[in-house]
Amino acid sequence: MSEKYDRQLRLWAQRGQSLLRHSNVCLLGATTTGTEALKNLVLPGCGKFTIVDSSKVTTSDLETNFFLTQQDLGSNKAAAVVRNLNELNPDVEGTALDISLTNNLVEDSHFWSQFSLIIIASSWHLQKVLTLADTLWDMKIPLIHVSTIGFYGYMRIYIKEHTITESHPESFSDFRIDRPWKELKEMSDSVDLEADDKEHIPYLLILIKALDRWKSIHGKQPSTPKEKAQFKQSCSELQSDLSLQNFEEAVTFSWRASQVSTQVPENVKTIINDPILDNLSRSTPLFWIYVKALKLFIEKNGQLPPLPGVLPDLHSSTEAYIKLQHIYKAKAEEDIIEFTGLVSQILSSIGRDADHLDHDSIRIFCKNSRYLFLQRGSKTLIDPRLIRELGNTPLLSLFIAFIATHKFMDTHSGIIPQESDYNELISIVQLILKSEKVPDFLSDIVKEILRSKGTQLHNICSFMGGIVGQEAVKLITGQYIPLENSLVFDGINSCTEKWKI
Amino acid sequence: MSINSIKPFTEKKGPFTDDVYEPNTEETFNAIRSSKILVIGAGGLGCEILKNLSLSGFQDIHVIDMDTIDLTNLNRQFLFRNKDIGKSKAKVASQFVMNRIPNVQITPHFCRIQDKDDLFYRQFQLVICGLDSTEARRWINHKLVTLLDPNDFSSLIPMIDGGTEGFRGQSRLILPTLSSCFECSLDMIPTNVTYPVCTIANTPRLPEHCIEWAHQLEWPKKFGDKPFDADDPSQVDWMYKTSLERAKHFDIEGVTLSLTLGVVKNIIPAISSTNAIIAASCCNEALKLISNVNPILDNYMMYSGDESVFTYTFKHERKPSCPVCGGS
Ligand SMILES: [Zn+2]
Repeated sequence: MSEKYDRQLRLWAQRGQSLLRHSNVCLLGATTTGTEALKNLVLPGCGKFTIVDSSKVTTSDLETNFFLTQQDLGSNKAAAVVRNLNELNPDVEGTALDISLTNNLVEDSHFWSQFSLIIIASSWHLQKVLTLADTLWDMKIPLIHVSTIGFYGYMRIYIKEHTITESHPESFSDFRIDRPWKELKEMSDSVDLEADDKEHIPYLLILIKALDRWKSIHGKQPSTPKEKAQFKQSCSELQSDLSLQNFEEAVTFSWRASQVSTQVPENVKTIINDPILDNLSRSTPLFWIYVKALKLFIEKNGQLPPLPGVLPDLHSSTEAYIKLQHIYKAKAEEDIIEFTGLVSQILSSIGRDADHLDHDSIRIFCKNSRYLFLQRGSKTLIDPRLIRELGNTPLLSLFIAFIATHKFMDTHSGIIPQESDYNELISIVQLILKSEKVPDFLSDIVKEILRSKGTQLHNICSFMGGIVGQEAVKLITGQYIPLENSLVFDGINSCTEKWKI
Repeated sequence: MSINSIKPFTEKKGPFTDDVYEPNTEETFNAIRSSKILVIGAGGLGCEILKNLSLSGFQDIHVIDMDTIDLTNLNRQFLFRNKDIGKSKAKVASQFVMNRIPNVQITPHFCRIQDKDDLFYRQFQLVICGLDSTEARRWINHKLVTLLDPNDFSSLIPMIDGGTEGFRGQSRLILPTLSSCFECSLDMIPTNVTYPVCTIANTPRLPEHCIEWAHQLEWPKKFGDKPFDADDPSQVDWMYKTSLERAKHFDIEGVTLSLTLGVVKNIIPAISSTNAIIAASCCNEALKLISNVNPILDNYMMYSGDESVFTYTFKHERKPSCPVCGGS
């Protein structure tokens, strides 16, 4: 089982895979783009999926959708796509619903609550998309709207709140060079930079010593560019034999000595000051319980968050490295124990079970406490402030042209605008811009959209289906950082642009 | 007919089409249908590319791949099933797509790219690569430059190259000697992680050092010239246990079977979504190149999905000193 998923487990591990396996994804509209997006969720093993579509398979569907065959002609499209996608992965269970997306259904929160994520793959139903986003809002179920026309693609993610513990930073660089705890200080004191085995001293210890000396002269850490350069210079003078790789590393990474361990990144500061912490309840997600514990931990530990305890490779002897690694790990373990105590205190104080803690998730949270992310979305289609940027961001024109096309189709029962509709489409654009003046590039994009006559090019559908599949995996696993929150793809110039609305 | 999806673009010039473009549906359809396209690699990218080309109206496709299907392919290589494990990727993929889409002819070649002669490569209008090997890409890149007769530009065979790693990937268009080639950009290709032999032999610190010790030093010592086969479970087991012993001796944590396989096979994480994105970009460029309905990529697009969605599209410049396409 896990061997089949080996190449993705290396990205999101069993934790991510388990969330994927227990997910239930709903696709509204078995279009080519929607089908391609689902394919990218069925293959990696999402547990269940449901397709809602009441239309019949036509020959034009066969032209672009790989997961429809000649035999499916005339039958219900949802059922046909489910049949052909099911075949991809025996671990996944698909269901077809031959029903239409009525206004009643869109507002039926009980129906939608069974799903972990919903994809709507259609160029119209704009009003229904917004109503559905509203229905899903407080349930915090993500909704992805995707649409493709000719060489262009559009997508939008609607979600009230998304929290990320495992953002997968390039490295965990918290080494406390400025704040060595007792054991670390003792080890750095015990090494002699002039000793015979000096080539075996890990550079972190060299930097702790060098910073100590610097502080005894300057009274504080190097902080200005000039001081940092001077400190770097002082590191390069520690050793006459510059071929020693560990001393070379100390010079290269001298900037790490000017990192202030008590400073947490802005995104984490915002999270630990979120008002939600004042109103923890029985239903508050575990993430926020841990954030509260983090806040208390930082207050109690002189502004220091839990230590990740991860050491990169450093030039040194095996013994010195392993000893140093043990010191970092031991401190991280100590922090986890203290943090766990805080978590159980908080849980008891709000009347929740504090006896069955999820120790794995606590460990992961502690390790990632400097890399937490919080995303809060919106339900509006477009931000009026964006329009001022129109001259500077060419693809903003494509974004506006898409919104205009969606609005047109929504008021014309899904009919694709034709070349004769140019003036009407432009007048919708003018309403969005709140201006008579439509830039040339924008009107050219409108012309290109009309030129396509609503044709679906498989490559563009597959490209957008790829992005939707990837963002869905990030949202479901709670790992990596998803798109915030609008994106267009220009398949003529092969580029994308994104905006947070 | 899949080709119909492009029809509206063949009937009218667009605001962004090249000035010389003259819309002509019949001519464009003929060009797409009669183009002979070579796909190199029938893996994660290759499966997507074969599907995309067929659904874009191309009807004469060849695919070359020396690999057979493995269980770990099934999380993304959607033309393969459990029952296909052990069979030729090129053959199974071709058959699957031909069964699904009428009127497309896909010819599989179950061999190495080096086994084919110049005559074979000369028959194609376009080569699309979905490979994970740098060496194979260098070989075909070089081949396409050598096939170019500077006095006869009809001998020019464009190459579209896709590559992925985890949430990241790139697609690019190479017009041999006219735009930067694969070799021109070799310094952009991340090299495999290597560890100095003295670290492996004398001062191991990471679990990877212990695995490389078993792989590079202990295996030849114990088995001489016999090459290590990472697909043989008993050999992998030996490698894992030997690495684990070494790690225990030095008090190093973290040697697992999964890590052992990752190091000895140089495993690159791969997911279906990234393959879909990059393959779609490659085939979108192929369709524009053959049909002229809109301008083509000039000449490089990078995609990154681990932190939001980010693309960077730019013109990679030729290197005058390039050993393959540089000079006169
Ligand atoms: Zn070159």
